[in-house]
Amino acid sequence: MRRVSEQLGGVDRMSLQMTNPRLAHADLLRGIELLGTEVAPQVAAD
Amino acid sequence: MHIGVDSFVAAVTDPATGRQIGPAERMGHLLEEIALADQVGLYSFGIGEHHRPEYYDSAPAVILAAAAARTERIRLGSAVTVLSAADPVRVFQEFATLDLISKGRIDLVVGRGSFTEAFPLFGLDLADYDTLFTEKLDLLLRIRASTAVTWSGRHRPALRGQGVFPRPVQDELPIWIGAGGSPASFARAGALGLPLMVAIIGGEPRRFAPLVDLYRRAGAQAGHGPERLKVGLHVFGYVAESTEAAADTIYPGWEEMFSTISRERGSPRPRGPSSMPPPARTAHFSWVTRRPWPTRCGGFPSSSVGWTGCRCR
Repeated sequence: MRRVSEQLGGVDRMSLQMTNPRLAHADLLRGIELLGTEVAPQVAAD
Repeated sequence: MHIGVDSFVAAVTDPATGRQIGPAERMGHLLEEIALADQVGLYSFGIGEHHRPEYYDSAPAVILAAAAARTERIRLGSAVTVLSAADPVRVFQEFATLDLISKGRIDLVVGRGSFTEAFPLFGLDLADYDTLFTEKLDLLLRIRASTAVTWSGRHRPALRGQGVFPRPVQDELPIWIGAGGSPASFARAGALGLPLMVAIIGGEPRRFAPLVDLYRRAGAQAGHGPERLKVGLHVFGYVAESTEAAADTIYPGWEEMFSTISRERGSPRPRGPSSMPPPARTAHFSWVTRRPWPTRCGGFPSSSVGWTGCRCR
C-alpha cells in the first residue's frame, strides 16, 4: 500500500472494494476486522 | 494514509451451502459490516450506485442514512453517485441531510459510473453522457457554494435564486470526483480543484501515475493549492491470514463478477486463478501485512503492489 502511494505521488486514502458475490458474511467480517486491526495501523505508522 | 472499505452490496450466494442470500438479509449483513468497520477504527465506508440485479445499492443515500444512524466515527460516502442520472438539487439535499444525521461525516463522490443502466432507466440519452455530467457537476458546485442558486443549462430546468436546504454540518461538504481512466475526467477534476478518487478496476495502480500527474498539473495550472488536490484510490482487495487464503477465498466471486462484465463488453473471460496474469492477480487479491515471515506461506511476487512479506498462521 505504501509503494502504491509512492508510485502515485502520495495518496490520501485507499478504499478496499471487498464486494464479492461468493464471499461468506463471516469471511467478509473477518477481512474488515483484519483491515482495521492489522493493516491500517501498520500503514498509519509511517 | 487513511484506509477504508467500499461496497456495491453484491447479491451473495453462500459458498458453503449454495443458498442465495435474500436481499433483506444481505442488507442486514451490510449494516453489520459498516458497524464493524466503525468499531475497528477504519476511516471510511463507501456505498456504490448500480441499477443491476446483482447489486442492491441503487439507493445509496438511503443505505448511508441507516449506516449514519448506527455509527459514531467512520466517514460515510458514495462510491460513486451517478450524477448524470440524478438531480443535483436532490443529491445535495440528500447528502446534506446525511451530514446532519452523521454529524459531519459525509463525503459525496460523484462520477459517471462504470455501467450505463441508469440512462435508459431514467430516460436519458447516452449521447449526452459527457454533457449531462459536466452540466450537473457545475450546478452541484454552485449549490454547495451558496444556498440561493441562479443557474441555467440544457438538461435541467433553470434556477432563479431558489434556496437549497438543509445546509450540511461541515463548512464545505466534500465533493470528490470519481474517475476511472479517461484523461478528460482527471484534468477536469484538477481544473476544478476537487479531490480525486481513482477507481482502479483493472490493471496495476502505477499505470495510473500519468493520469494522477495530469490531475495535479491541471490543478496547479488553475491555481489550486496541493492541500485541495487530494488523491484517493478505490481498489479491489481482501485481507486474510495468508496470501493463498485471500486469493482462494475471493477468486470464485471475482471470476463471476468479471465474467459477466467481460461477456457484456466482449472481452475474454477469466479462465481460472492460474491463468490470470500475475500482476492483475496481485493487484486485485492480496493485501497482506508487511511483516517478514518465513516463506512457507508462499506469497505473491511483490513487484506489482509492493508487498515484501506475508503473514501466516
